Amino acid sequence: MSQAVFPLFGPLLVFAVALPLSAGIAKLLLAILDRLGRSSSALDSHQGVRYVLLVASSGAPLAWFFSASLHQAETGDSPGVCAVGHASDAYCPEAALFALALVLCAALFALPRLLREQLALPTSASQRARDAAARVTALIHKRPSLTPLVGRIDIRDVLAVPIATLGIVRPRVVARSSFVEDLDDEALAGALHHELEHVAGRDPLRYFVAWWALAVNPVGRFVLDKELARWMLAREVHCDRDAVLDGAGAPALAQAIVTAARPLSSQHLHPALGSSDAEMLKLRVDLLLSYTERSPVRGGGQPALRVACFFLAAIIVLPHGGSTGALDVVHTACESAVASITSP
Amino acid sequence: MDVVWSRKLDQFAVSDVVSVLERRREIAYTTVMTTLARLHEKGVLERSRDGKRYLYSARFSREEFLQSTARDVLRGLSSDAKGRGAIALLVETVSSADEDVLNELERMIRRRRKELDR
Repeated sequence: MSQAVFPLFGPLLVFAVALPLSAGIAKLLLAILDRLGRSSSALDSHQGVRYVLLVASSGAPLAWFFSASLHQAETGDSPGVCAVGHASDAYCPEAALFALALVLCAALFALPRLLREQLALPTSASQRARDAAARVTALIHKRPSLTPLVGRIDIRDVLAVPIATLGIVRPRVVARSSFVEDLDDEALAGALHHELEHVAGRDPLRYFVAWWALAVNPVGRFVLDKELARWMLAREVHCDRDAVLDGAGAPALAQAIVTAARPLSSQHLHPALGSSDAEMLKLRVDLLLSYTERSPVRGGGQPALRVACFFLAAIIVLPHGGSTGALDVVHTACESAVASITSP
Repeated sequence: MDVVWSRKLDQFAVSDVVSVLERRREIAYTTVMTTLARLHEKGVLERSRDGKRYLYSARFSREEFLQSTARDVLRGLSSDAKGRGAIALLVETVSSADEDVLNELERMIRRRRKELDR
């Protein structure tokens, strides 16, 4: 029983204490970033840092505890906190099991969604969908800047959204045939340019990692949900601008956005942006129309995902070079708590 | 502000804006004067004296103004991103109550596309 205490209750402590604490710190840093960003006129200033903070709010403590427990399992550096005595060079099964439990808990949140989003697309091979697909393919061949989308477009008759980019491993664009039919060639090319920016930026992966970071954290949804929505919206504006720079007609893209925003009468409405959805839509259209007067300037790239990975890699290295004190605290806390409950 | 930005008016008097707006619809001089004074108070326009009248100029380009407004809108979001997961949408579907907004936006876009086609 004593060997199971740490692997069973340790992850509970990490999820119940360390992750909420980390989310609070991330929220505080985001608020500071917000104050700093007020002096900047660019909408997407600090968006890369925002993303890293969102991901790190759960990713950093999980990566650290996982790495620290592997370190202890490998070297047995802190045998003093382990209920089962073992030599300093022995393998510590408790730490290894704790690492395994941590990974399983983290994966538990990610896997169902991962599978659902990979498999959920209904297939339709109707004449209508084939006609729309042929039109899109012809348009892509006419515009060299859209060629990266060759083989990455799916047209469906029934789709919950008019057009979107999905696919965590291999991003692709899915569009509803009625949406394709509603747009003229210019507007359709505008929409495809916008989606191409999502494909090139591997946004489904980025969105998924950020979504997971919030889902795995017990307070993530309450503390950081608004920050994630804000980052995603700024990313949309960023994609609008880059689409225009890469050849989309700004008013044509604005037309596509407005067409996509119209609800189908049978469609379940999901105004995820609350009362601000129409306001944000107006601003995106206004921004696009302003690009017809003055060409936008390409902002700095958003290597957010790479920076987040680099940051987490640095966190993983930390316990191997420094102290694993926090893990020892979790370990002793678990054993003392169980001991105080079970002792007569 | 649309008149100021689209006509690229660097320095202008109330009468300059009135003359543009009068071509579209009937508008009182005092209405424009009050609006420009309010925009000055809000920090969107700068003004300097030129004899008996004021000369105005825009403090921001349209893009700068919209970017800063967009940031304010983002700050005020009461939103929820939990349903989206790994899907990058072109735009969120708006509620059916915003039908008028969509129609107005479409009119504005059509007008701009026509102007550019000319």
